[in-house]
Formats: sequence, C-alpha cells, structure tokens
Amino acid sequence: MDLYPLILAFPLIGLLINAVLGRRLGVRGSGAVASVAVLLSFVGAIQAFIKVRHLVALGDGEARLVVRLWEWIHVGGFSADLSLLFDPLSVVMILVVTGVGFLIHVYSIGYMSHDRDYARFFVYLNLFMLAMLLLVLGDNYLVLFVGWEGVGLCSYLLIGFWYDRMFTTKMSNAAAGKKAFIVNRVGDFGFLLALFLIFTNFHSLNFDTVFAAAAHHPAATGVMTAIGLLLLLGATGKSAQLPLFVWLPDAMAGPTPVSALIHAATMVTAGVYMVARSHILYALTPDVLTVVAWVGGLTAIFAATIACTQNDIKKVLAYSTVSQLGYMFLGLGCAAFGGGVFHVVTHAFFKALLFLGAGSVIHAMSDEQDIRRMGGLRHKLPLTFATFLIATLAIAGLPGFSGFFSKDEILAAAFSRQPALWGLGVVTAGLTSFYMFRLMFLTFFGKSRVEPERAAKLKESPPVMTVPLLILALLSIVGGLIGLPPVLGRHLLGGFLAPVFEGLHHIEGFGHAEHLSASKEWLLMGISTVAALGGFLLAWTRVHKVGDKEGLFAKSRNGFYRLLEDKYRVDEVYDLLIVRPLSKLARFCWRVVDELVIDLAVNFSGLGVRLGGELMRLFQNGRIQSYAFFMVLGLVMLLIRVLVQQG
Amino acid sequence: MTNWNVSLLAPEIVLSVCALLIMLLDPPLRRKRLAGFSESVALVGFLGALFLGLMRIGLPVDSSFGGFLIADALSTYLHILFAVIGLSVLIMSIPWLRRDGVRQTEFLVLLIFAVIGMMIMSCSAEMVTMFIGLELLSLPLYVLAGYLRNRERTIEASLKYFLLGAFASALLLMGIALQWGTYGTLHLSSVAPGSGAAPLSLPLAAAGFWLVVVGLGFKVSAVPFHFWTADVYEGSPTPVTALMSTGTKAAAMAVLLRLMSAGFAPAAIEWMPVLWWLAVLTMSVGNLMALVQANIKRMLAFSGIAHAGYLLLAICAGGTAGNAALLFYLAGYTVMNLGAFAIVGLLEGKGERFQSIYDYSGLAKRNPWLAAMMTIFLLSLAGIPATVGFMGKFFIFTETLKAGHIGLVVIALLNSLVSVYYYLRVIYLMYMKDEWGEKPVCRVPASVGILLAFTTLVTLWLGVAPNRLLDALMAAARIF
Amino acid sequence: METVLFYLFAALTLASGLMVITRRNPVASALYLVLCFFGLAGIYVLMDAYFLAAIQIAVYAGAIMVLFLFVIMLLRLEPTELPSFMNSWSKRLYVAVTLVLGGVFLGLDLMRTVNTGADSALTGEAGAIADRLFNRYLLPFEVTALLLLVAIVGAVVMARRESPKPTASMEEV
Repeated sequence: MDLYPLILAFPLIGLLINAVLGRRLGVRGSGAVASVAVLLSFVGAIQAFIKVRHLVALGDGEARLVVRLWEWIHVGGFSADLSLLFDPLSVVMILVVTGVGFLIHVYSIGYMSHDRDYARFFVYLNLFMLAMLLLVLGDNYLVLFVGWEGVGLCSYLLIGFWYDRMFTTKMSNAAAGKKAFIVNRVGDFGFLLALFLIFTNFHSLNFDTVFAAAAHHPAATGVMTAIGLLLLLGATGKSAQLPLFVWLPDAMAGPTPVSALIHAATMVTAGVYMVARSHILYALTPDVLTVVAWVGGLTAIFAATIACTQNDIKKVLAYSTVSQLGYMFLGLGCAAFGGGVFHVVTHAFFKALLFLGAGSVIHAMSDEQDIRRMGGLRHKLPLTFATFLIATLAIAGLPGFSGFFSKDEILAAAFSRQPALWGLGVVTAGLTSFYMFRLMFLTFFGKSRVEPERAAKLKESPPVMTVPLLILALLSIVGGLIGLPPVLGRHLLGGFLAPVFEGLHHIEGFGHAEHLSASKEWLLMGISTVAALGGFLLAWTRVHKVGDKEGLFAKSRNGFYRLLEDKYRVDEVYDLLIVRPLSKLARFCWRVVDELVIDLAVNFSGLGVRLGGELMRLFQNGRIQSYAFFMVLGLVMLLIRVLVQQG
Repeated sequence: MTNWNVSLLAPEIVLSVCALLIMLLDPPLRRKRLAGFSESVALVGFLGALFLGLMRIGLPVDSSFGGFLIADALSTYLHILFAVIGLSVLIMSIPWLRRDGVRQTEFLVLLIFAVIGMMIMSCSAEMVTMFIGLELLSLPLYVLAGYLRNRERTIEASLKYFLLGAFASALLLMGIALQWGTYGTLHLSSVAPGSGAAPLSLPLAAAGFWLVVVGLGFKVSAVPFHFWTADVYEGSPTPVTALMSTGTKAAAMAVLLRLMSAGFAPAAIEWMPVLWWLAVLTMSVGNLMALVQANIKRMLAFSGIAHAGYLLLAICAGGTAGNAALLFYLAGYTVMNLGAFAIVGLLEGKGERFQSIYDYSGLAKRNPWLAAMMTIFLLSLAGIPATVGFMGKFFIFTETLKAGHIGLVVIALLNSLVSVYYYLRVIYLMYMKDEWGEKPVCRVPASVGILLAFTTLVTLWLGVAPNRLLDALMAAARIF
Repeated sequence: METVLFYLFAALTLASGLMVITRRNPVASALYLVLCFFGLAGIYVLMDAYFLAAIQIAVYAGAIMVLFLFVIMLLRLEPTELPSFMNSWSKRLYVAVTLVLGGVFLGLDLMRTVNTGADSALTGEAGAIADRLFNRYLLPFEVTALLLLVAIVGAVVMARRESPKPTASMEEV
C-alpha cells in the first residue's frame, strides 16, 4: 500500500487524537500515538524515496511524483492547488524530517515523563510535523508559505511551552517565544513581498511555472535582484542568519527535544530548503548569490566566536547551530546547492544527537544547564558520553565522520569560487572544533563540579532516550558516506539530486562547475583536518589542562572576550534601534495625540468644569466636540483640496 | 408604467412583520407567562429572511419602485450576510438579556429594524432611499447602545454615538443635496452624467461627493472620522457592539462600493489619491492605537478600524476582482468578528465586569475550547495562513498590487506585521499566563456554542477552500 | 427684489441659528429656533414652495417647538446651568474652523460654472408633492414609516424608568 499520499494525514490524525484524548492516554500512550503517526509518515517517505529513486535511475524525463490533494484557490488568472511534490530534493528533506522527527518523538516520551502537560506537548510536536511536511512538499510558494507560518507558530508555542518559568533572569520563556515570533515576522514580511513580486512578474506562484518563466523571460534585473534579496531576508529570519539570528539562542527556552527537532535539525533549515528550491532565481542573479554566500560565511564565523565563550550547554549548541546554518548558506551561495542540502542532512544527524545528548545530561542533572557546574560526567553517563563524543567528532569535522564530508564539499565549492570565503570557512572549522571540545572537556572530563544534591541523583537516562541516541550516533558516523568527494568515490546524494538542479545547466555561466584537481582536493581536506585538530589541541591546552584551576571561569579582563560573552551586544543594539522607537511611537500616538492634543488642545478648559445634571455632564464632557472637530477638520481638508484643484 | 414589484423586498417585509408581531403580541403573552415567544418570532424572522435571500441566488438582475430598488447579486449577497449577522447577534444577545435581566421586547424589535435598515441600504439604487436606510439602521443602534439605562458607560456611549452620528448624517444629507443640486439625479449608478461634464469636475458636485464620503466614512470608522468607535464599542452592550462592528461597517462599505465602482468610477483619478491616504491613515492609526489598548472591546474596535483600512485598499484596487476581494474580506471579517465578540460576551460575566485583556490570562486552563476558538479568531484577524483572514488579505493585496499601488501594499503589509503583536498578546495571555484573580466558571449556552462552532468552521473552511465563495462573489462584484 | 429677500431671509436664518447656540437661557434658545424656522419658511416661499412653507411653520415652528418649550419649562433648567459659549480658546477654534468651512463653500460656489440641473418642478401645491411622494419616492416614503416607528420605540426605551437594580456593585471592579 502506498502511504506517501497520506503523509500529511498521519500527523493530523495523531494530533487530533492527542488533542481530544491525550490526557486520558497517559504520557506513554500519548507519546506512542504521536510517535506512531510520525513513523507512518516516515514509512511513506521511504516509499516515496524508493519510487523517486527508481525514476531517477530511469533517467528519462522528470523524476517526480505529484499528488494533487485539492484545488485550493482558483480565481481569475490566479490558481494555487494543494499538491504534494515529491522530487529528489523534497524527498531528501522529508526523509530527514520524519526520520529524525520520529527518533525525537520517541526520546520525548522519556524526557517529558515528569511533565504534566505532555498531551499539549505532543499535539504541538505533531502539528509541527504537519506544517513542516507541508512546507517541504508544497509545489508552489503559497503552500510553502503556509507551512512556513505554521512551523513558526509551532516554534513559538513550543519555545514558550514552560511559560511559567524564567529563561534568564531578565527574560521569561514566554517572552523568548514572542521574540522568536516577532523577529520571524520581519523575515516573513520580506518573504511575502518577494511572493508578491514573483506573482506580479510571472503571474503564478507555482514552482515550475515561475522557474520556467524566469529562465526564459527574466524580469528586469532590479526586480530579480529584489526578489532574491527579499527571499533571502525571509530565509535569514527562519534560518537564523545575520541580521535576524537573535531569536535562535533565546529559543533554547523550549524543552530540549524541541531544540533538537525544531531549532537544530529541521525547521531552521527551511530557509536553506527555500533557497535551494529557488535555485533558478538565484542562478539568474549571481550578485545576490554572492550576498547569500557572504551572509552565510559571516554568520558562520560570527556565531562560532560567540559559541566559544558561552557557559550554558544549550546556548553553545544554539550558536553552533547558527554557525552551521551559516555553512549551509555559504554552500548555497557558492552555487553548491547539493552541498548545502547535504550539510542539512548530516547536520540534522549530529546536531540532533548533540541536543538530545545535552538533554540527557540536563535530565540527569535535574535541569542544570551551566557547564561550570558539571564536569567528570563520563563515568556517570557512559552512553550519553560516548554518543556525545561521536557527535562532537562529526561536527568538528574529523575525517571519516559525516560532518567532514559535507563541510568539505562546501569548502571546496567556496575555494573554487572565492578564496576569502574559503578562509572564513576554515577559520570557522577551527573555532567549531575548539568550542565543541571545550564543551566536551568541561562537561564530561576533569573533576566533578556538580553540586552534591544533584550528584546524588545522577544516573544514566532510560533506554527510551538512549536508543535514539545510539541510532543517531550511528547515522552521524556513516551519514557522510552518501556524499563522498570525487577523489574517494561516488557522490550518491549528488547523483540523486541531479535532476532537481538540471535547470542550472541551461543558465549562462552555470555550466558544469569545474572540478578541482585531485591534488587540490586532498590539500583542502588536509587543511580542514589540520584546522579541526588545531581547535582540538587549543581546547586541550587552554581548557582541559587548566581545567581544574581556579580562575578558569573568572571574568576575563579582555574587552573582546567580554564582547563575545555578551554576544556582540546585538540584542541591545536592536532594542535601542528598533524595539524602543517602535513602542515609543505607539505610546506617542496614544499619549500625545489622543490625550494631549485632543484633550488638552480642544478640551482645554472643558474637562474640569463641573456641569449640572447627568445628561448635561455627558453632553458637555467635551470629547464629543473634539471628535466632531476632527471630523470637520478632515472634511475641510478634503474640500480645500477640491477648491485648490478646481481653482 | 412604473414597476412596483414588491416581492424584491420580501426579506425586509418578513422581518417587519415579525417586528410588528413582537410589538403587538409580546405584552399580552408575557402576562400569560408564555416566555420565549419574542425570541422565537425574531428567530423565525431572521431564518425566513435568510431563506428568502438564499432563494434569490442566481436570479437575473431586477429592479423595482421606478429604479429606486435594485436586486442584483450584490444586494442578494448582502441580504444573506445581514440575515446571518442578525441571527448571530440574536443568538448572542439572548443569554445576555437573561443574564443581566434586561427587558427584551424592545431590544429584539430594534435589532430587527436595524437589520432591515442595512438591507435597505444594500439594495437601494439611489441616495434618498440609501440615506433613509442608513437612518433606519442608525436610530435603533443609538438606542441599543444605551440600552442598559442604569449604567453610566452605556448611556455615555449612546449619547456620543447619537450626537456624532447625527452630525455625520447631516454632512451626508448636505452632500446628497449638493449632488441633487448639480446633477438633478441621485441614482448611484448615474450620479455623474446628467450635466454632460466629467464627474466631479464641478466644484459643488465634488464637495457634495466628499460630504457623502465623509458621512459613509463615519459609519465604516475611517480615520479621521473614527473617534467615536472605541468609546462607543466599549460602552455598548457586547452583542450591540458585534452588530455595529460587522453590520454597520458592511452596509456602509457596500454603499461606498456601489458609489465608487458605478457612478463615480470615471472620476477615479480624482478620488484615488484621497482614498489612498484614507486607507493608509485608517490602517496605521487603527493598528497603532490597538497596540496600547488594555480593554478587549477597545482593542477590537481599533482592530476593526484597521480592517476598515484594508477594505478601503480593496476599493482602491477596483475592478471586478478587487470588488470580489472586498466582498470576500467582508464575509471573513464578519465571521471572525462575530465569533470573537461572542466569546467576549460570554466571558465578560454579569454586569460586563471582565473586559480587560488580562482577564483572559489562563483561559486555556479554565476553558480550553473557548481559548482555542478565540485563538483561531485572533489568528484569523491577524491574517495567519489557513484562516479566512489570511485569504482575504491575500486577495485584497494581490488585487491592489495588480492595480499598481505597490506603496499601498507595502504599508498594508507593515501594518499587518504590527497587528500580529496585539492579537498575539491575547493568545499569549490565554496560554502562557496564570489566572489573574478568581473568575467565575463560564458556561456556554448551547445556542452560542453552535454559533461559535459555526463561525470557527467557516473561518477555517474559507481559509482552506475559498474558491467557491470567491467564484460566487465574482458575480456580485459586477456592479452596474 | 427676490434676491434681496433671499439674502434677508438667509441672514435671518443664520443669525437666529447662531443665537440658538449662544444663549444661556434655554427658553430664549428655543424661541430663536422658532425664528430660524420662519426664516427657512420664507426661503421656501421664495422658491414657490408654498405648501412646504406652510408645513414648516405649522409643524416645526408650531407643534414641535411648543413641545420643546413645554419640556424645557417642566425641567426648570436654570440659565446658569449652561456654560457660556465663548469661554475658551478651544471654542474659538471651533468657530474658526466653521468659518473656514463656510469660506470653502463660498469659494466653491463662486467657482460654479454651470447652473443646477435639478428639476425645479417641485413647486406649488400639495398635489404635486403628493404625486411625487406616492409615485416616484414611494420606497423611501414607506421606509420612512418604519423609521418613525423605530423613533417611537426608541423614545419609549429611552424614557422608560429602569427597574431599580443594584448598580454600584456591578461597576468596574
């Protein structure tokens, strides 16, 4: 039986069951319902994958399946259908989304076992899966946008899930959720504008139609550039890139499985997916593509430097996510669209593993997240330690692990396009290795700094949590084998994705990218390996060796260090430049225009005058007159306009 | 010979008969303790009007009373809309009347007459009838706004509404007089021709036109003619507020639509810049003011002003598709607003005590279903996808864009960005805050429950499958 | 001659209208209103609308104003209870805006190029008016009947003494 046309139905049914019956099922029942729903979707995704692979292997025509669900909008010259598009790109994405999503659902059963609101949690999680699948599978921009908003809403709801707790001393969890939503709306604004521009120029929002129209009759360069930049703005919001990355670190207020699923593995890669999907539009505007590359490269190094100074285990991982997303954009910007998607896949494995491992640590530590109060945990949490180590090796890019291959592909693309970007990437690789091993050493090595009462309760997490860790660890090791560099073997993923990016060959200047020579390829791999090892050694000497000495965590006097610790104070700048003026404007309208101008100017003396009789008091309370006054003022302005025009 | 086809007025006549029946029979029956008589008659009246409206779908355009009355697809659509509004407000108001122990006979009669007024406005083809319809709608509202005679706030609201409304009516009437003076005809579809000159090229005619626009602008609460809105919405009983924010706005908007897209369409170049500014002001002021409101009814009032701005956008867009977008948005706005006000009415409690948005804290725990439905209405008002609010905005914005007003669309997008904040704040309070003081348990009467389920379903359904309605509205959007 | 008379009546109407809103004594205001109606009736006569003029005087100046006066006297409003008119600059602002509005209309009128296209057949006796009302304007006429009914119901509601209910406890908490 073909399950893939029903792929959206399973999470929907799951969330409905949990919404109605969730509380009666208990945490295991509720979690099982949600997990089985996602598992079925995963099976559907595998079926779709097999079919699409078959089509790719045939190699003739287009390798895609389209499932038309229903005609959504059909008005005048505009139509948007709700059709699911299964092509190699979307199939890869849904495999990751449902596969990793399933593991995280299972893990959540253990993680949320002590929470009384588990039913709500699983409803949100399934809703997220639904929206994410919609985002990836839609065959036009409008459906993509609906999914885009949907995942944003779920993200907001899940960040604020523990709304009664404080995230930091200054910020409540709910406020963190709100921040994420509002920052994302800025991106969405750009995205919407881009959609409008696409629609006015190409008279459709359907991917095929738009890309065909754009490739054959491109609009004016300015318009194409605007579309590209606005889409990029949307992507920077969702995928936490400069300048809109500020929400992601605060999104760590949500439960850890959420951080793993939404804010590391899947939702934040939606921007990458969207840019990869729109590759034709970007290929037509090489300048915008360069902007994408620089945004990615700068974000990568920017976030990596911040990650080096953070002491909250989840914040380190959050900045690391921002940085890795930067890599993906760097890859896209260097026209390595397949490479960007490849990194999405491997990153989903190892970053989900890192977050789940961190969750396991936090769970064992009774909700302690500060690595200054950890240390020596490898004896108490052996499984968590082992899997976390594998993930660290993978993200640091040690040869053989998955992260190595995807990162290498991006760096190679950057090298052949713009060596400066490659330089940024290599430095970031070194920094990544440094902060990850720093995290590793402080958490699992050295002497225990755990508070006694927490230490007493330390024990390894239950199998329902550790089994997903083991599976993800396996994937983090071997996941890279699907995309070997040319010198080592076949690039399976690249071959699979090739039909999607076929259109690029027809665009001028986007022929086959020249392959690097084998020696250069080896050299680049060597350099990034050296960078990774350098980061490790630096962490070894600067963190592990001095690990137990006093003063390791003392505030550095170094101004730059403090700037890093304060995350470059971007939040403060935004607050000063945007948030405050806006709320001031609103307040100005209220206080000044309404109360001051109207009440004082017009009703200067009327307010305090005591008038006899209730009727008369109401009659004369002055506001009516001022209201009428403004009506007449508006009218007079209109009439004067007539007078001037006619005269 | 003039055509006196009375059957075109069937919904109005059915409603009038019901109102008269209530007035005549309620007092004697009440003495015999036959409770529920008036409600049933009113219910039957609205259902009958709805049925008659539905029956008219698809019939050819007809006119009567010497062309004073026009029965086209637009008027049919609006008749149906107003019957639904009347029905919903009736359902909302019955528990309220019982709860606060208010006399209901006159309330029902006035409600029915107000709805008749809206219907007359929607099918009048010239200005005198339109004006009298407007008055027939306004007079009952003035009284209904102050229906709770022992509460200061509602009397204040009523008085403010009355004085400013009379003022606006005077301006409107003066505009009509000037139109008459210049053109010698008041037909909406052919106000302009008469003298052979281009419409609005005569100074006095232009002045008359703008006076009419101001008078209607007052009813749709366009800035700067909106000042009454918040005070009156806040002070009026909640079902009445629901009627004002949906029915009045829809009726005045429909007249504006007839005016702009029929008689004065050739003069678009004259009124477009002004309407542009009106739309921008209305959206921006509405949204900015809504940001700082703490009373839910005031917030919804300003949000209603902002939505009036989006509707003006559609008038700027013009054309059949633009008109259809406006009518679609009107339906969506009506449904989600009715739902939101129904919930506000349920939660405010006896004596309308709980109207602060902080009273919505922790609602999700106390009353998860109400909170969920309120969330849907608010998300729809904010224009989040998969709701009718999103679809409506989407249609209006694309049509406006097609008409070439890119700046207008950008401003509107920015505005809807801002608006998310204050809608979200209520959702945030409902789901992410604990209760604020003790609240009585809110019991939902079955009738209101059905109404809420209906509005929720329509909000979602039109957000997911807007096709059929929009197709049907394309017919209504061709205005002669 | 007609022009002179027109300006005379118009001035009378305007001046007495102004007096209506500036008097502190409500009885005086009401009497000025009667004068205002007479001025209007005069203008009707100038337009050959004798029937309308008669109705204006009989219904408005006669019946309605008498009712007004009764109410005012029964309420026994003291003159001092009403504030004087020009007591603040905000009110002066109103006056200024009103004058601007008047000026604008004057300007628009001066720019008038074409004469009115209105049909001027609405003259003379009751028959013509009745014919219009019951033929051409039948629909608005009938709707006006409903409007009057609403006005009566509304007046009843507004005038009704509310059953004594505890109100203080219901107010804002």
